[in-house]
Amino acid sequence: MGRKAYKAVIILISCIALLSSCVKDKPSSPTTMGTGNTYVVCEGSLGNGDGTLYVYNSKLDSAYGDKYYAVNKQPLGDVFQSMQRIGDNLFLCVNNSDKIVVVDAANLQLKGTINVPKPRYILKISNTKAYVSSLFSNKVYIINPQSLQVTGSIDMPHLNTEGMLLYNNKAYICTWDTVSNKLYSVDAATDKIADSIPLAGYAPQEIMIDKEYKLWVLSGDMPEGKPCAFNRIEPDDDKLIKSYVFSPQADPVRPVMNRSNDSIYFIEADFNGNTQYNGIFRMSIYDASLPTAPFIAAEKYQYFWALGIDPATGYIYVGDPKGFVQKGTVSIYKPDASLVTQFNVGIGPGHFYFDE
Amino acid sequence: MKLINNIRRKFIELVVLSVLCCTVSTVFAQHKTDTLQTVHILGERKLHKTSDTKAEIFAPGQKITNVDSLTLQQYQNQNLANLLSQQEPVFIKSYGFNSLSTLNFRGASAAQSVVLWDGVPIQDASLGVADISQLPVLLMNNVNIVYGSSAALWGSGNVGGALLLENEQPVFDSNGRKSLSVVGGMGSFQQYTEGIKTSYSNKRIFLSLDAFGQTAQNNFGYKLTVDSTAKTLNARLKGASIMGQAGYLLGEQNVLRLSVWYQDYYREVPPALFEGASVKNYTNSSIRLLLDWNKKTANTLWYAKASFINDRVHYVDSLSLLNTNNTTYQYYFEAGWKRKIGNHSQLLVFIPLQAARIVTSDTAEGKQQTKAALAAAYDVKLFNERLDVAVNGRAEVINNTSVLLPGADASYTLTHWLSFRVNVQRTYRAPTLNELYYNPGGNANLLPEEGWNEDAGYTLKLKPTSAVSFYHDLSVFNRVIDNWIVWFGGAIWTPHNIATVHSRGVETENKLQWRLNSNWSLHLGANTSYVIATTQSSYIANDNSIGKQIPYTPRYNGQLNAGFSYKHLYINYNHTYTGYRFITTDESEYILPYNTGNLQATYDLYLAHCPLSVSLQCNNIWNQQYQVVAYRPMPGINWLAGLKLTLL
Repeated sequence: MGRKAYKAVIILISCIALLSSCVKDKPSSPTTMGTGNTYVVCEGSLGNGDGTLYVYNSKLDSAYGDKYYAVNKQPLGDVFQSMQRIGDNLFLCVNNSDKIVVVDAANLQLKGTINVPKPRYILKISNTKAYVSSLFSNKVYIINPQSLQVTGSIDMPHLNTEGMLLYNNKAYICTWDTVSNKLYSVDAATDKIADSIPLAGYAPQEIMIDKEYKLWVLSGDMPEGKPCAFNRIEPDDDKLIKSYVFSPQADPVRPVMNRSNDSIYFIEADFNGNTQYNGIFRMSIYDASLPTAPFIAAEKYQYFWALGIDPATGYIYVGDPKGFVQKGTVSIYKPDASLVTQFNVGIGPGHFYFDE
Repeated sequence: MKLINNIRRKFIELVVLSVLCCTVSTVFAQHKTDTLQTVHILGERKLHKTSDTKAEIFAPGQKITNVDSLTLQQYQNQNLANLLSQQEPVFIKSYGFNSLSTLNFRGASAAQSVVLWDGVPIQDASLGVADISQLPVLLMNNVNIVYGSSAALWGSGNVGGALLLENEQPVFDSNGRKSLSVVGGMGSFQQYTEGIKTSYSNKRIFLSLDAFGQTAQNNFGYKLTVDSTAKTLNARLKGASIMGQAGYLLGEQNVLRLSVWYQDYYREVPPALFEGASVKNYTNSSIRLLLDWNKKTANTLWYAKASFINDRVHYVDSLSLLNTNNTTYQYYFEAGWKRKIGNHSQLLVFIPLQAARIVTSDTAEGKQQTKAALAAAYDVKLFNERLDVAVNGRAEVINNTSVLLPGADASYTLTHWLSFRVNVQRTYRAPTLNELYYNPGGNANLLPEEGWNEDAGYTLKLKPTSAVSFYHDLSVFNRVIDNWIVWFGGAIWTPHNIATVHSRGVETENKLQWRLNSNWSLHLGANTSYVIATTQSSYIANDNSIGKQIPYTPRYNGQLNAGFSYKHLYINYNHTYTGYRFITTDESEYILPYNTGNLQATYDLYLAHCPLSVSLQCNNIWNQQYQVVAYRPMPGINWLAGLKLTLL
């Protein structure tokens, strides 16, 4: 082999190596989703139609997005509020697009759309029935997750139906209205309001259940002058057991239980650049009072908007929307508040959904 | 509105009658034109001399462009947003066809630009923004665009530039002078426009009345996906503007004028592409009163103006349970004195006072902002008036905050065909009432945006032969603003002073005119704009916007005009290009660039001795599907035909 031939071979090998390394460098996005994924619900910026769905794979420590667009070649919509698996499908509530987008949980292929005004959250009642709460409305819409049809609605006494929870065949429904100071229970079999439970504050927003099967309701609307409060409720007799009232300056959102359901994590968000009531807070369900110092503090001009606890690891997922004017970031912490990893996601990460 | 509707119906009848007359008498009219002296030479672009003393004398180094008479005539059935987006190198942020449109100069936001009506700021007192789609071209006699900051002359808030609008100035004629013209138009998507301009003057009194009305369904189709289309719904527009003026000659060069401008617009807001439906609508009504006095002597000018502006916005979105009423009141007063000092210099001293108050559905007690200033400008011409230098300054008190706004600019005429200019101005913008007190989210602790603006340029005017003229103007600018206000959001959007923004760029204006003979004339023109406006520093940890272009600021923007006039026919092809607009501060999301081609034709003839101008415009001739603002589709090819009949 002559000198020229050697050179040609070396150049050829170099080119192949270069090209192959280029291919390797491109992040590969899973084409099948399966279970065990962590979905990052990115709201997008209101009015910009840029809600996105990101997927985080903890084994690869990699985030992929915008997965919905990548699969279906169309944008998801405006203000992607929440998501819920029912059967083999994922139901994505796109609030300001007035629709629930239904995708195949295996590959995120679009299977259909359910038109519901300003959908917020979905509560699975059975394989053929789910409730959908709705902003600016006093209705809870009833959908059939199999036929993808709206089958009815429940008229609530107040506007802004919001957080919901199913326990003992009763659906507990928050009406995030500043004139509402009750939690309502609906008979899931008849879809009729069964009872109302007086709360310590107004505007019930979110609801959870602890290890002792007591309900925790976060109420309040700080910007509208309604101080926030945690209300602990005994569901057996629908009575308020204890309440924890926040400072009028505190604006708590996104409360979640830990894996053992004995601690509550929540965000306090300050939009004015202050740090006092700003960060991730943690309290035991047995604590006598609210925590005063953040578990993870937010910096000046920073606030968090998404919070979740991985049921598999107990890791704490925190979303920073960076003002909804640029891509957000997600930080994952161990229960001792040490940072595990951080990655970028779409605009306005608002919720995490751990698909078990 | 009922009265306006009736008036409009009458005008439609008149316009239709004119069209019918026109179709049967074109040949006759053409014949007649051979025997009549031409009263209007098509293709001739007359630049109006501004009546704004500040622009005319005390801003020699500032780039100021004038919209010529022919362009104003071409767009007489349209609004200023359409005119500026097709003819000037500024970015018009339009939320849809015939929808809210705001002015963005040189990387500055809408709230950082001012719109002045005969020297009075007319932006919404709450938002600090003017919707220029609600400014009918027909009502304006003179439109000037000031590029770059000039806070000392035109007030704080003027960061990116200013739009100067002027009405007809009173002209007194002892012979009794009357004018009357009517315009009408119709176009795609059931667009109908009609207007009237009339005036009367004698040796003491000047009266004028201008009115413009428009309706449109705006129900155009657009591509939803590659293989599906949709039609715009909930997009109706009904609007009317009426302006009356009364001038009285108190003595020689001593004029008192009262102007009253009322307008009422009802607009539906069509759904964005991500919305299933929209029932949003708003009604915006404004009344603007201006009392203006000026007295000139050989060496001195005294003037005073007082205005009252009341804007009401009623916004309804029953799907979001929104039903809001915002009312703003603005009071403006300015008194000034200008004097010639020697043969080559002039001094202007003026006192502007401004008070704005907003009453919203949430804040019944109202919030207010006051500005009081003492300003002066001095201009001197040296070296046979080749060098023109102006220094100006304004000491302004905004509520309880004082600020000094100095500036200086100069121009130098090297030869009769080449001149240079340079301009340095302090820039300052106080937060608007909306930024301070909007509920929820207003931030009462906001600091003003402030910095410096520098720009320079040259103008080349060549006339190689008597038939050919070439105009070329180039400007470079540089501006750094600290405490730039950015709205951060989520459930609640709050403005913060978070960044320093550096804007710089180059603009050119080029025109070539070639008069081949007495019948034929060719023209070619191009405007270009290159703007880099990037976040330089930020108070936010891990901010990914550093070094990135700020949202809705196209880096490239340009217009081309090419055409000819033959006798009474004028044809122009207008092409616009608008580059990428980022919609996030980290450049992670953007909208694609777009081109639009627009064909414009005007033909002048006579109808029973009355000049009649017939215009036809085909917009977006290449049927480009595009969006100026994300998810708000704009129409494909569309038509607009218009008439102007000058009766007196």
